[in-house]
Amino acid sequence: MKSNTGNSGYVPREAPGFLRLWPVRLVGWLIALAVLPALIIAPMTFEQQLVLSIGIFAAALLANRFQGRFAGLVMIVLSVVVSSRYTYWRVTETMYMDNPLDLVLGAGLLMAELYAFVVLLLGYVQTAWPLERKPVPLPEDTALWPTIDLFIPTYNEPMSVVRPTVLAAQSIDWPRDKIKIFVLDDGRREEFRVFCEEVGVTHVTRDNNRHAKAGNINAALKNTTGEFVAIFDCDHIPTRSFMQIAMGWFGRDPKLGMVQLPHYFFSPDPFERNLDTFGTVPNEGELFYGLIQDGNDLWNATFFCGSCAVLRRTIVEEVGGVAVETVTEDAHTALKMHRRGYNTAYLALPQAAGLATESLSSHVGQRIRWARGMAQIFRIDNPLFGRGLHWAQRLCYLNAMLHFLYGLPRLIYLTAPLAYLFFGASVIHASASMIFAFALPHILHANLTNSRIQGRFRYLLWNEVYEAVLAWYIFRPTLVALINPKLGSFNVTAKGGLVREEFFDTLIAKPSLVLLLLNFLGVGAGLWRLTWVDPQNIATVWLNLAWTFYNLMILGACVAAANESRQVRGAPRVALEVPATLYFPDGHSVRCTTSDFSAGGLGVELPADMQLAQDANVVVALYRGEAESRFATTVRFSKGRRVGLHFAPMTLAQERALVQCTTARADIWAARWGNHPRQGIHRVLGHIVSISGTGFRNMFSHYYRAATSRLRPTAASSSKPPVEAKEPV
Amino acid sequence: MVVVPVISSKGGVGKTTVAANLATTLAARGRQVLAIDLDPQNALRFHLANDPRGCEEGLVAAASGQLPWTQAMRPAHGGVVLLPFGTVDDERQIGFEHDLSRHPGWLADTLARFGLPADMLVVVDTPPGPTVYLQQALRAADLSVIAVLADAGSFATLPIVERMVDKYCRSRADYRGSAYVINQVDPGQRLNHDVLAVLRARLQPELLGVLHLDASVSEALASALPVQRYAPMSQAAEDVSVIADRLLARIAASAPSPSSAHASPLRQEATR
Repeated sequence: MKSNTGNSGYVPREAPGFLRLWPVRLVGWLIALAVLPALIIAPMTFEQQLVLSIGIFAAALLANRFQGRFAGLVMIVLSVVVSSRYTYWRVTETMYMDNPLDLVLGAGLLMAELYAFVVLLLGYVQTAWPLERKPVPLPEDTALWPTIDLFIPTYNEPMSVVRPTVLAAQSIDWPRDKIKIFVLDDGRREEFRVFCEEVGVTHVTRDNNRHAKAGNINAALKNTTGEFVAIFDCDHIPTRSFMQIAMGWFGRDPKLGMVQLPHYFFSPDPFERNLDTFGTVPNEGELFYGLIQDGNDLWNATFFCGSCAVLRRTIVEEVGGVAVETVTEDAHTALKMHRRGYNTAYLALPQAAGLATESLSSHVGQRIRWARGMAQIFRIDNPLFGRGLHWAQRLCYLNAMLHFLYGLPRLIYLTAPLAYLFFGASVIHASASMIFAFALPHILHANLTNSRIQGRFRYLLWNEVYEAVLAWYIFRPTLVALINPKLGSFNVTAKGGLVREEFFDTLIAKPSLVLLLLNFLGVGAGLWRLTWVDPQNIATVWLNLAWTFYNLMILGACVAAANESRQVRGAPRVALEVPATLYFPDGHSVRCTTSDFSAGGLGVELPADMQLAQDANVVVALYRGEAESRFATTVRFSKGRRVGLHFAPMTLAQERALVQCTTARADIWAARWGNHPRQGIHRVLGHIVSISGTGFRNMFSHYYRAATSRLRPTAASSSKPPVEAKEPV
Repeated sequence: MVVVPVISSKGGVGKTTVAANLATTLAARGRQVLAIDLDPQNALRFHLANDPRGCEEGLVAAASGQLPWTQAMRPAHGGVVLLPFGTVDDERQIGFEHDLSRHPGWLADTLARFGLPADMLVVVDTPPGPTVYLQQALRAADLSVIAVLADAGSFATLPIVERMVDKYCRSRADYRGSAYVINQVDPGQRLNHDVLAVLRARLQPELLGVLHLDASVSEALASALPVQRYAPMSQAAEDVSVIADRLLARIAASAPSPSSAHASPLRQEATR
């Protein structure tokens, strides 16, 4: 079945005309089939290799000066050639080990490098040409618009999280008689039933909780009839325009089974909060939704992400509902659609937003679930095999799954130089200068090319920080799932709730701390080696030391990420800068700007210093376009230009209006998405070094305090480094 | 010269407030503004004049030749030039109205005789409802600002003034349209909120903006200051500013092309 290559109904930008002339093509094929392979495998002396590397790198730098995708493709080709050359050299020249220890450690490193090489190649396939699909307008006549069932599955989330989602869903611009909202409550809570009745949406329950969210959705599919099914996690608040943006493509392509929109978070995730990078460094999810899904879309391989998506009922029913075999039911469902020759689409327009996970431990827990699920799919429904997929789809899915196997390779990288520093084991059988001449171009090209492709969505090296934190946690469950996909779960329990005081999460940081300790010892061993090794190995020691210092920098940032910052309020505060007006009981008004909001209240910034009485009644007006809504509040604090307001109890209509004026406004928050300025390597490096320094400082001060408190007899038992109870310190 | 009368069907909707605040805000935007009080109440002076007591004689006296026009015009806040109506007794007022009814184009002719610069704005305050003053103002109007309240009475009487606009303005090719201002808006009140929604829907393409109910407006009058000077951080100040900006945008968008084509090169020469 090859009918589903690319995206029917969508014509991507064509290559420049001269590339389609047959002599040009012939030369192209000649280069691809003869010159490049020769370039990859030609054996060379150190000097020759150096000259070749400098030449190719200069070509890449030159290409990088040009705008446009063609130059990007040239850089990809150069990077692939250089990395292939490195890999070929590694496999054929550097694996002559003379003792078993070297062989075992060397093979481990080689495996990790081969993994990275494959993921690099697959990544290029996936992101070389993002489709940048635009929404298709709906027919003028709303009578032609299809019917939609909007599902909001929930299990144990509190009412305060679900309320705004339901109210925002009710405000979606779609003919009232053509959209039905269902709250799928697996918690079977009376409070939810009452709320649903009050606002006029359907409360759906079932008598069991089989297959968790997937089962919940499948049960609801059986009892509903809408032509399309929209799914929102209960903490993803849709904007009014969501459906009008998302639905157009279904009309154009009858084989379209699913349209996915990005997940956007308007509160910082634990990395962003603990490292203080919110809004300044693209977060972990931005690369995926900004680039990878868009790149997948070119190959018709966008997959379902469980929320902020619309499914065509006939097609989802044909594949047997939402998949239940794995814990990442969403990706698996999309895979099943693709296998049957259906299409999926991605629109890189944030039209729904939610709150990011609260603590690093729950963040880690979520990533473990994804990693485990992807490994499960890899085992039980491997995209490389089986019917129905185009080769590019196979590769895109393969990369999505291989990506989550980074645990072990990452751990190997973080410890590889120690093999030499501790044991004198030579894991790469080559001189330091040859390693330098082969490996450095490989690393530089990969980074240069990826920073061109990913620049707006992921800064250089940040990948390493994100992965290093998660590597240990992800390594075990993926390994287990690969061996036996049905076997148990390794999820750490999401702690949730409020981080009341700044504390250092030693439990979650333990793997990083162990690696850090090993690398510190490695530095010691390296310095010791420098004093006595024979002169021709000095370069090798320095090479390994430099690698170790790099690892220390990354691990320092990991430790910094485990330093949980304090969250002040129960309801998360979200930054929001929109005009507002305060009306005082005496009839006066002041124009101001909001600074942040939460379900409980609003922070505002006055145009000048002003002292408002504690508990004074103030009415605040918020705007959405021309429409204005007013909310009664009391003053919680007032200092200089800052005022904190607490909302008085609201009617449902007011609550809905508040959601409309705040969370459900894509125009406020979507501007930041995918618009990070590109940053040079020196800036990124400097930033990570400074974060890393903070991490070390926090860690040492934590252990210093722990040690001094242990010296005092009364507090002797309270803290036991390095593994400490998870209480705030 | 662009003549902008501020009109309404009903009294007490805040025409004079709107006219005065528009005049000062437009002047603050760097425009030359002449504010004419065409309302026998002679109240615009309390909002605008630097010396309200010096406005006993004005338009009526100048119209009858008792006073040169240059002396009838008074300096006012923010560089606005004010032409007060003048304090007149009933007989003079009736006589003046009689003259006006005999010369329907008197105001338009008089303004034309002044030879004002092409980009000068003339804001005209008028008495409520169908009067001889309104006829005069509408005959001279380039763009009418219609003030309404978000209440049932205002909504119900809106057609009275709209019919007059249709009668005296719409037939003229150079008329640039009507612009509505909804005054004393308070979305906190249920009825006000609902009427506002209806008014918005009805007036939408021609709606200039809303002026919120705000204590600073009346206090500013008591202090004889424009609201933007009296309470610059208030919502009312912001509203006036938005309304003035949109009015300028409307005027710029609807500029009659032939005259501006002639005028602008000359002006550019002059400014060089």
